[in-house]
Amino acid sequence: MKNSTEYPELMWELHQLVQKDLETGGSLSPDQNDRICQMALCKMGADPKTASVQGNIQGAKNMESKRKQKGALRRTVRVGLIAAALFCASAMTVYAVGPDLIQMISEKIGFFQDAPSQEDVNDPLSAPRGDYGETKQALEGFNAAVGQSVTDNGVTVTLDNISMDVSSMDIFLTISGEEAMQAIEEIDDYGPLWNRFFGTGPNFYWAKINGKEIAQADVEDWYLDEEGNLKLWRHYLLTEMPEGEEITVELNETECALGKAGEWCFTVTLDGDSVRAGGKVGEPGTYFMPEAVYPNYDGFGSTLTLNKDLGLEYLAFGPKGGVIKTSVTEKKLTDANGSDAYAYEGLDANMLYIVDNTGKELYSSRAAFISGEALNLTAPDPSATSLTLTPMRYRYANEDGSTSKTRTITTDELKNGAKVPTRQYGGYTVENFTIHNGVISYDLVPYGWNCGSYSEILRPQDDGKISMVAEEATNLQDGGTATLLHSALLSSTIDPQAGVTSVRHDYYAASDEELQSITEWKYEYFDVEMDTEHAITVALEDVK
Amino acid sequence: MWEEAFSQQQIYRLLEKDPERGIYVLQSQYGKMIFRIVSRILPEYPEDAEEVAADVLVATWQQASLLSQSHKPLGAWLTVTARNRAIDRRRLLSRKQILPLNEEVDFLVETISSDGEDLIGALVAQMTQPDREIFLRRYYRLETAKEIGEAIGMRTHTVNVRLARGRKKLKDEYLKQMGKECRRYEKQHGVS
Repeated sequence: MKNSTEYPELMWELHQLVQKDLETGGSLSPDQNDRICQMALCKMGADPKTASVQGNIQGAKNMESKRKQKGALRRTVRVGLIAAALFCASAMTVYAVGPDLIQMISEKIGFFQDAPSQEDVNDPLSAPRGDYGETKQALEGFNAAVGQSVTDNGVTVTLDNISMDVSSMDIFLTISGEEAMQAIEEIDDYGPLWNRFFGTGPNFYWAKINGKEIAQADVEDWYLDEEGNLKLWRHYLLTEMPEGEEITVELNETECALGKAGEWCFTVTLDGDSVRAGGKVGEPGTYFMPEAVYPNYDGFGSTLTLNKDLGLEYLAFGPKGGVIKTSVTEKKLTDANGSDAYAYEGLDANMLYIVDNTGKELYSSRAAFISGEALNLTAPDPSATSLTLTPMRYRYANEDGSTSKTRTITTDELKNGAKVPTRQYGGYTVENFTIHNGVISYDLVPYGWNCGSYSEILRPQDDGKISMVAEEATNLQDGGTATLLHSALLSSTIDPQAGVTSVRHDYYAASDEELQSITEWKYEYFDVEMDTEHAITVALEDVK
Repeated sequence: MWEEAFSQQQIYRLLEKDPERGIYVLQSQYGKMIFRIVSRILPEYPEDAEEVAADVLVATWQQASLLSQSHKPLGAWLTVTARNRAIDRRRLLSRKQILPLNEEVDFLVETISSDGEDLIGALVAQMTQPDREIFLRRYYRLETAKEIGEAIGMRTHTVNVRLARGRKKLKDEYLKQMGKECRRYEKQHGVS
């Protein structure tokens, strides 16, 4: 999503206004200045040595002067990590520091161990959404218990376990807070109760590893345990190799948890060798690929040509699975109406058909509505020594420039475990199709090549067949009212080790009888070609 | 104010090499501007305003390397960041329903939703002067009509009229664009 800082001319104009008014804009007492600085430094985990602004300014001037005289100043600053009770107890930020040097070992994970199966309860609030068989096994073989807690504003967040290999990081949390929980449950909302916990935090979206944001937030799952605590699992894709003898992980939530404002910060240090054990990587590189030509991309006969070179930035596998990241850049266009449009140059990783040298297909996946170029990859055969990456290209079969054809499949076929071919080279097999308590759920198991996992593959044709929730909405502009109809909430979760997507359609008001009357589903079929001429082979080397 | 202001590259360098000093320099140079924006959105809560101001400094430290490489103008980035963080805090406090109504501030918060942020920016960028400067000062720097009038040599009443006309135009364009975005999304994703 673009923001105002992406409009350079406007921002430079704003910058000029700021520079002009710096001397006259507002006032701050010296006490306020120092208070704000100390608060900032506390949040950064630093130990503010000098209280005055004046002293630090002079020091900074001296530093800058020396730098200019001697050349680049190279000094590593180690920001001290401090325990909450010692320094920040009186401030609003609360930190916890984990045990020294955590190693990845085989350890049970309460998130999985203590939970019933979704099949038994059919309720995302009572059990993890998916089975996660292979992923669970991999995680429990490669993680460490932490057991650190932070409490703020009546909400306690405990970091139960952490797991990291060269491809991904997983954290497991328990979150409790009676007042906060009650407030969530009392929200007047026609949606399912489990969804009210979505986004209430803590999110830890911007996890840092060795000070860098190289962890791309991916799958998450949550449920309430028997005591009413929220159990949360968050999976991250790593976009670079975690380096060093010690790997520092910072998880900072500075907005809210269970909807309550506050701050919950954790720092753990992992043993680098332990994290990288068993890892394999492919050499990054840039590979020439033919340009992609899109005739009639805007519906008005304009042709668009885009660079589709493969910029392989990161390809790695560890005991928990794999990751692939390619470089993709945004290109701003103007369509025939004069409106802004955007296209993407560089070959996206999900446009690669990947097979190892034993013939095993690898499947890519990413959580829905997540931005970022990295994808989960299922693991190659343990004996594999290389991967072949074959680019896939869309053909354009339609006059209006669209790339897909709409196809139909029946509910009976889905119930019987049909294949849904989204491309001629692959698609999904539907498993565990169930209608129960106003919910339609199923698993999408990949086969062949299918451009990664998405939840919106199958669209139920439920018009005129189901009851819906009506909501009165007011137009803010003219005060007029309209009735909006809401049918269902679509959601999904992914098992990264298997590439399987578990999908739910939670209907707000439809009965099971109404849902059983839905006889057809639609999906999009994309015509593609496999560009074997430009396939590349990448050797897998052990991480040293 | 210091006779020799630090350039933004010098500030980024300090934040990376000596974060503590960098924070103090950043505060000395931009602290008043940041606090003025934040306290205009959180006039009832000076403590929250100070904390949000501290958050802006921390965010700058976190982004120093990226900002340095991208050559984004620091003053503008700080203005937008301060405004957005203060708005987020105000929304949190509003959900707790402990803030009294403040029409002027709440209008700004309502107008600048996360969905519309990029569109509002694009639409303001297309305005001609002096309307563009008026909107930059009003929506990004939170200046009053009187302050804007004094800065650009225009009567307060005239500034208010231009703001009202511009707001209507922004809203119309915003609703039109968001409708288009929804239809484009639906077409691309086959969602009905």
